[in-house]
Formats: sequence, structure tokens, C-alpha cells
Amino acid sequence: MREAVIDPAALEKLRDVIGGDPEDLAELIDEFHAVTPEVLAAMKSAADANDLEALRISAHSLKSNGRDFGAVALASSCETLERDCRNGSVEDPVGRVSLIGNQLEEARAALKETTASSE
Amino acid sequence: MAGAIDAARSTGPPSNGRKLGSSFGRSVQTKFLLYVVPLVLVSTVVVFGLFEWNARRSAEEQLQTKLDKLIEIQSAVLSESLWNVADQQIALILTALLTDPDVLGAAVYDERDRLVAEVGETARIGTSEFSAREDIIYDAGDTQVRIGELRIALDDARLRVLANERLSLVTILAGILLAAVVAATLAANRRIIGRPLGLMMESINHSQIEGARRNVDWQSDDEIGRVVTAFNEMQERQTAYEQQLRSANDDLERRVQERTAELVGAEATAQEARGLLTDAIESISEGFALFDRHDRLVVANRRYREIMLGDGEVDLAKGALFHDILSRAAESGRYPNASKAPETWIERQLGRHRAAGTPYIQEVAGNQWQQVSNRRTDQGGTVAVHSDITEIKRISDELKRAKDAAEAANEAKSAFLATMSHEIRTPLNGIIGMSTLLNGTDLDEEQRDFSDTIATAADTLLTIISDILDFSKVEAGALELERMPVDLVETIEASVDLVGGKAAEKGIELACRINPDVPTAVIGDPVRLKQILMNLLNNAVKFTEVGEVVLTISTMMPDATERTGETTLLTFEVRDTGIGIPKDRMSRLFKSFSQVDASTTRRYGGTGLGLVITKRLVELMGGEISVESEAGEGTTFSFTLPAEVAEVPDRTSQENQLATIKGARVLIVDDNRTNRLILSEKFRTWELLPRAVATPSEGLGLLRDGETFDVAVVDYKMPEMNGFEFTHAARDLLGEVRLPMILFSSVSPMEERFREGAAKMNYVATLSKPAKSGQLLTALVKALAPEAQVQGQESGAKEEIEGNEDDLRILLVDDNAINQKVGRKILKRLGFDPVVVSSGEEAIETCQTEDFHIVLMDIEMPDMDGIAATNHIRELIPQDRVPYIVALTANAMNSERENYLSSGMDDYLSKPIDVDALAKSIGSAKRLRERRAAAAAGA
Repeated sequence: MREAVIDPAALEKLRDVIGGDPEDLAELIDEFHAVTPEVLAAMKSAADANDLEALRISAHSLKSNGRDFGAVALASSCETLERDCRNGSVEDPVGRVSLIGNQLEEARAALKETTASSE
Repeated sequence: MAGAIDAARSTGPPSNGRKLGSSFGRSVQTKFLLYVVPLVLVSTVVVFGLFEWNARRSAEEQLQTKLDKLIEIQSAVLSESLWNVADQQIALILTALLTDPDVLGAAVYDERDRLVAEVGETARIGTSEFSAREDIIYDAGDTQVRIGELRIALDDARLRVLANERLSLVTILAGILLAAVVAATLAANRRIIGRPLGLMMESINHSQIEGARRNVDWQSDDEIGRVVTAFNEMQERQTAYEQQLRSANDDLERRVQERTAELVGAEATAQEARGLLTDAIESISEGFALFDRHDRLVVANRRYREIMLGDGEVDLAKGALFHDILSRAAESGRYPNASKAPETWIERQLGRHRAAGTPYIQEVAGNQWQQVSNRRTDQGGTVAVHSDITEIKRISDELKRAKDAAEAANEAKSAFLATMSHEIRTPLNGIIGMSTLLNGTDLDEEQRDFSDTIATAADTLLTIISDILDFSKVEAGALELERMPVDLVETIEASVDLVGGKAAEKGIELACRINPDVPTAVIGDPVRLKQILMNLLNNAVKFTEVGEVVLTISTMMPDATERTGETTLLTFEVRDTGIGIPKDRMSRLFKSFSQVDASTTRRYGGTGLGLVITKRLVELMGGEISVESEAGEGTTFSFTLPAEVAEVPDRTSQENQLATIKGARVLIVDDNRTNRLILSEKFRTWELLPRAVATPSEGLGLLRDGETFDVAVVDYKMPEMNGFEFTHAARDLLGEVRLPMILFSSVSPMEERFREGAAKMNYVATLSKPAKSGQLLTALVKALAPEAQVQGQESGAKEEIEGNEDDLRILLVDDNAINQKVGRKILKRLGFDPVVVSSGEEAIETCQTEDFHIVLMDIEMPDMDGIAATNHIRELIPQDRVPYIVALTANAMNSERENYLSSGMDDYLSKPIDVDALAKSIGSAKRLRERRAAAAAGA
């Protein structure tokens, strides 16, 4: 079930775009592991402060990363949140960010597995 | 004769013909007689005078002679008697003498003159003319003795009687002669002159009375005849002349009449027009007034008086000054504005009147509105038209309200549509993505079926939404086509590629054949062209269960292909072996919301909008679409596309690649004939030597026979054995001989078993059907000349920017660490080492300290977004050093492209970044730099 979190086609595309080297991709995935918790943390604090602008930007950022790595569900949730922020009405921002946090965790786990299997 | 001519001449003037008749006494004849009669009389007198004189002379001579004879004889007789003095005898002799009647008297005297005897009237002896004396001589022998004298007188009475008789005779004769002469003259005159003259006269009179000329019927060879002839000729000439004159006259008269009639008509028309104009002016519902150049009234209709002064019957004299009319109008209280400050109002009205500008609207008492138009006439006057627009204004106000409402509603609708499409698409993408992922997991049959259904339904829904949006755009005429160079091969192959999956799922062969004479690039809209092709291909695949779908592109104007800027006509044809379309349903094909029939919709789904949109798009591009079909046999959609040939993209690297593989022998193993043909043709274009077989056993046969090949292109799915099996068999057969193979497959490369199998086979490349030219070429190069491959593989993106990459400086601005990494890696791959910063502020700072040729600017950043940063950079840096700034955004909406470009961006790229698009953008930046360098060099 975990494999379903990540769209392998997107990953493949990302690899192609950066030149096809699996090591480069691995490096990027590492980066993903390193960076995304920070973004999530930013989202959380923005949600706590009910700062919709900050929430929007970090959601956008995570959406973009999620898309790059084929984390379809994550990207989709972030996109919805981003739009809601833009429209100025987010119900239960904290709850939604924690949901996104779960999705992020799933994606990270799935990505780890991918890297492990390809090695 | 001269008189006759005179007379004829004197009768010449036809004007006094009647007078002529009455003075006929002085006619030619009279005049003629006046000449002739005296002449005849004189000559008669002269002739007869001479004759009388002669007769009288001879009678007198005769009488004289008789007297002489008588006296001689009697003297002799008497001599004896006297000698003898015989008086008696003497007396007797004398008496005897008297018997002669002529003898008047006789006397005898003696020698002494004594009277001897006498008889008769002796007294007249001596006085009478005829009297004589004779000596009576006596002859006495030898002497003669005078013895007396005899005297005789003869009577001349007889002579006179004779003369009288003769005179009478002469008179009678002369009378007869005269009468004869007169009669002859008259007759001749009448015959020779009078008749012809009379005839001429008659003719003249006739012409005068009757008006028609009649020729004089007179033939003679004399002068009269000639005159008559001349007269006739003259008359004829005159008749002809008169006729001419008359006809000229008639003509003139007719023209005069016509002209007169015209004038009368024109006058009547003018009169009528004037009447109509007056009527019209009077009856128009608008107030109408004409003022001369001094603003004096020329004419005003009733309505004008009503409007201006509130009463149509009020007296408004011609010549009234406009200013006075305004004063009266202001006093009438009809103008609410005028009652407050009449003078200002009047001034304003006067100003508008004289300016004669655009019409203006004015309020009239009673919530009435009028529009006033003032126009200058050619003579410098002013025409004022006052229209009651109360109703129009009311309607217009209502309309405006309605329009505002409608616009608001429409805006709301558009916004709703846009939002809805977005709102629907987002979850739908989620559904599609998730179902794709779901399909990649281990599912049992039922679950897989459910998942497939979800995917299909979502796909269909997405298509429907896109169709509806497109359709409404097309219907609203809001669809605008782009004009840019389109790489035909790339566009076409990309479209085919996108349908490839579906075709593979259904087990249909999908092939694409681009004729070699089709231009490589044309000017057009690649997105819409792709859409058209996708629609037709999807349709074809949808309605085909068994067989193949073939897209063929050809041109009817191969000559234009080589010339950039020429217009060529491309023909696209999508042929399938599907269910076909019944003849009677063909007409409904391109209509909105109609599929061939309701059952088709149930079975195949779809809105039926695809073909309508396709048709509109083709028409928008200037082409025509048509369809041919045979129910049960298949359908062929074809459309034409006029397009300008664009510059052929730089293909040097492709040429290099082609050069490395030129002349290679290629074995094609594919059971589909169309694919074999297309591949063979493509390979031949690339100057390869293809050999195509339909079955694996045939291919193996060739290898067994010792045919050598440099590379084999093998289809995966074939009837006897699949591609893997063939590869095995071939490798077994060839042993040590190396034959690189390229596998073609419709199977999703993501399918695990297939992937594993393909990996084991160690193919040079596994390509999904139908293969793109670029992919195929790269694979061939990899197979045939591995050393050239490294260079070849990346050429697609790199060719844009090949050359002086090193000195092209790039700044990447992105707050996201991962994106920074990705960007850096992509740029590195393209041969660049970018400077990377993570905020707008840093970007501005860096740009001020260093020169960059291109800035890749993320839009969504905290604190300062990309657009603000860009604007700052543009403000702070001299214009000729401002880098080429490219927006990067994950909000992938092509419609936002314009927004970004208008906010100061040079270009726009959506994330995830497409390498080719990035390369293109870098190429543009490079060209900008070159232009600047050239400008600097020029300056």
C-alpha cells in the first residue's frame, strides 16, 4: 500500500530532468527528507498563528516538492490548502496541517523504500 | 418675248397672287399686244400709203397721158375746122369730147385768143390739176401756122372715187390683218407663254393653298420649257430644303417641347419636394428648427414650438433671434434648469448651439428628457433637432441596469465556471492519480476492475469538463489561436504518444506516418493542433476494437516545403478499422451534443463535443474537416490545414547522429504491416537499409540464412512468439555475433513483469509504441555507435544553448531547498553553474553586485514574491544590463502566462521544470545578450 503514495512516473521524470543519474535522484530524495520537516514546521507555526499568508507560501512550497517527487496525495492536499489560504478561509488550519503532516510522513516512508529497493 | 418673261417675272412674288388675278388686263398678253398692235398698224399704214401713193401716181400719169393724147389728137382734128372757120363743127367736136366722163370742159381759142367755142365747165380750165393747152397748128404745106389754141380740163373726181374705194379696201384689209395678228398673237401667246405660266401660277397657287408643291407638267424645248424645268427643279430643291428645314424645325420643336416638359416636370418635382419637405418638417415627431448664420430663425416646426415654448400654436416669426426664443423658453418654465438661473442657462444653450457639437441631453419639466442635436449647415447656419427621448432614456436606464445585472451575472458565471472547472479538476486529478497508483498495487480481479472503472470514469469526466470549457470558449469566440513555430514531427508524435497507452490497452496497433515531403516546422498553434489530433485519435481508438489506427500526414504542395514563409497545405488523415458510421448518421457527426446514436453514448461514453470542437478548431485554423466511413469497415477522418512553412529548427546534431548510423542494416520484426511500412520508410529517410519481416520465424530464417544486420527492431507483442522469445531465439542462433536490439512495446513500461523481463534481455532501448523519431534515433545511435551517444542524447535540450554556456551567467531564485537542488542539477546537466539564492531580497542584492544574463525567479516566496523582486531589479539596474527574467511557478496554468508576462517577466516556466522549455528560455536569454552586444558594438 505504501508504494501507492508515490507515483513512480513522476520520480522517473524527475530523474530524467536532472540528467538520469540515480545518484543525483538519491541526493534529491535525501534533500527531501532533510527539508520537508522544516517546511512542515513552518506550516504548523503559521497554522497556530493563523497566519494565512505564511501558511499559503509554505503549503505552496510543499505542494511543489510533493509534485516533484510524485507524492500525489500530499501535493493535492497542499494545493487545496494553498488555494483556501488565498481565498482567505481555512477551516481548522491546524487540523489540516497535521493531516498533511501524516501524508508527508507516508511519502517520506515510501520514498525511503524506493531508494532502498533501487540500491 | 422679253415682255412675256417680264410678265412671268412680274407674277413671280407669290405674296400678291389675288391682286395679280384682278389686274389681269396688264397681263403679258396685253403688254404684248401693246407692242404688236401699233407696230402692225404703222406698218399697214406705211405699206398701204406707199401703195396708194403709187396707185394715185399711176392714175394721175394715166390721166395726164390721156389728156396729152386727147389734146394732141383734138388739136389736130380741130385745125381744119378752125382753118375753115367751121364753128359749128368745132362745137360738135367739142361736145363729142364731153362724152368722155373724164373731160370736165374744153374751149377753143383763135390765134388771138378769142374764144371760139366752149363746153363744160370751162372755168375750171386752168385751175384744175389736169388741164392742158395745145396750139392748133395748120399745116400749109411747107409752113406751119398757128391758128388757135385748144384748152381741155380733165376731171379728177374718178380718181378720188377710186382712191376712196381703195382706202376702204385698205381699211378693211388692215382691220382683218390686225385682227388676225391679234388673234394669232393671243393664240400663240396663250399657247407658248400663257399656258406654262398659268400652269406655273397654278402650281404656285396650289403650293400656297394646298401647301404641297406640284410639278408643272409642261414640255417644250424653248426658253419657257427650260424655265419650267428650272422651276420644277427649283421647286424640288425647295421642297427638299423645306422638308429638311421642317424636319430640323420639327426636331427643334420636339426638343423644345421636351425641354419644356422637363422643366415643367422639374418644377413640379421641386414644388412637390418643397411641399414634402415642408410637410415632413412639420410632421416629424422631433422638434426641428433651422437658423441662419446670424442665428435668426428660418423655419421651425410645430413640435419645436411645443418643445421650446410649450405650445405648438404660439407665434414664432421667421427671423426671430435664437437668443429671444431662449428667453421665451426660459420664461415658459419648461426647463427646470432655466428657472434657477435663466441667464446662465441661456448662455449655455447659446454656446452649445453655436458649437454645434455632439448631441446633448436636457431635462424638461415633468420628468421629460430631450436630446438636442445641433448641426452646422453648409451656409453657416444651424439645424437644431430636439428629440423627445423620455421613453428611450427610460428604456436605456432600464437596459443599463439590466446590462449591469447581466454582466455581473455573467462575470459571476465565468468566475463560477473557472472555479468549478478548477475545483472539479483538482479532486479529479487526485482520483486519476490515486487510481493509477492503485492499479500498480496487488489487486484481485474484482478490485482491479473497480479501480479500472474509477480511472476510466475519472478520465471521461476530465475529458468532458475540458470539452465543455473548450466548447463554451469556442462558442463565445473567445478562443484565440497562437502563432508560433510548431515542430510538426514533435507535435504529431507527442499526440500519438498520448493515445498510445489506450491503444495498447485495447490491443490496437497505433501508427503514425509523416510523409517525407511534409515540412519540419510550420507556423501555428501547437497546443490546439495537438488537441485536434488527440480528439481524432482518441475517437478512433475508442471506436476500434480490432485492427489499427493510422495517422498519416501529407502535403499537396511539396514544393512549398523547402521555402520558409510559403504557405503549404497539409492533410492529416486518421484512419481506423473500427465500427464505422452508418451513412444516415454522418450528418450528425459534427453537431453539438450528438453522437451517432444514443446507444453509442451509453456504450462508449463522451459528451459528443469532441468532434464539434475539433471541427471548429480546424475551421479556425483555416482548414476543412471531412469524414468517410463504411459501417463495420472503419472510418477515416481527414482535415486540411493551410500553414506557413517555418524555419527548420537547427538539426545539426540530428544530422550528426544520422551521419554516425548512415548505411546500417536494420531488421524490423513486426506483425503489423502499417508499422513495418512506416518504420521502413523512416529508416530509408535516415539512409538506413531496413529489412522488414512480418513474423519472428521469418526474421529467424533470415538470420539463419546468414543475413547480417547491424541492429534489430523487434515488436513485443506478436502472434507466434513475443519479443522476448524472439530475442532469445535470435541470440541463441547468432551465438557470439552481437546484434543489438531495440524493443517496441505497447505494454506499460511500469508493469513489473515486463520491466523485469526487458531488463534481463538487455535491450539497447525499450520504446513504447508508437516511437517518437527522436527516441528511435537516439536508440539507434546508442545501438550502432555507443561512443557518439553521450553527445547525442542530450542534444535535444542542449542544441538551443550550445556554444558559450560558460560565460552565460544564471541566477536561480527559489526559497525551497529541494527546488534549488533540482534547478541546480538541471542547469548543471545543461552545462551551467548557476548562482542560487533563496529570497527576493537576496536576488536584488546579488543582481546589483553581479551581472547575470538570466534570472530564474520563483514566484511564490515568503516576504517578497518573485514579481516584486523582478520589479525592484528592473528599477535598480540600468535597462541594458537587466537580465532576462523567467518566472517559475508551480501554479501550472497556461492562462496565467500572460499575467506574468505583463507583470514584467520575460518568460514563464511551470514547475516541474521541463528541460526543453528551460533550454528554450535560456536560448532566448542568449539571443537577448547577443542583441545587446551587437547594439553596444554598433553604438
